[in-house]
Amino acid sequence: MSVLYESNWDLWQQWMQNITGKVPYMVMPGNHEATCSEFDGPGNILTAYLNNNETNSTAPESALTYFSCPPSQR
Amino acid sequence: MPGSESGGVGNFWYSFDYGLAHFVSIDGETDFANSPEYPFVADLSGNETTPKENETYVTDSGPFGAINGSYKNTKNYEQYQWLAKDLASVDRTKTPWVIAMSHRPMYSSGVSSYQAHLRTAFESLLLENGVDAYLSG
Repeated sequence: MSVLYESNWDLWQQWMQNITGKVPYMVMPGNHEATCSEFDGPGNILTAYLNNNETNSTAPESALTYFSCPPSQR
Repeated sequence: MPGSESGGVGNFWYSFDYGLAHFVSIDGETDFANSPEYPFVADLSGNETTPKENETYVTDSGPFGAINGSYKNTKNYEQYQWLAKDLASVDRTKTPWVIAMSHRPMYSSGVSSYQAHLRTAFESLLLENGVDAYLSG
């Protein structure tokens, strides 16, 4: 599920690029910013994929560094 | 985001003017009573000042502003006090429109408990100050 979120996010960024590349916009925090480690999947499957290029694998919580996720949240 | 420029905190809560509108961005995730992400201070037991790991939840977050008193009362939170001050200081002759926004809706056809908590925290402040619209998404 977490891999789906990541690919959706990439798609959305690509769709919006014509606008976001030219117009500054303001952002505000949502639950995916607040709970940065919640949707990484069991065993941190997304971290294993993005950091180590391993599919269906696991990674330790200390490796949750591919986005801004403070240690207190992991 | 202009948190420090507007007396807020970082990207979490801030305000800015654009054209005839004063925009206020509030944090609907943390920093009010019964926020959807519980503050770490709510996990404390006994005389602890920091919670043990097994006392925390993966969704815990914040607070990012100060809490002066009990975390169970929204009025003690820095975000609430900032919002009250920010709305009160709007000059309606310069920015007649005031638009507030956050990630979380206060009303939704998909009812969820966080909506009532968000209303309890901030709705009356928005109404008292004549906020024209509240956007969420």
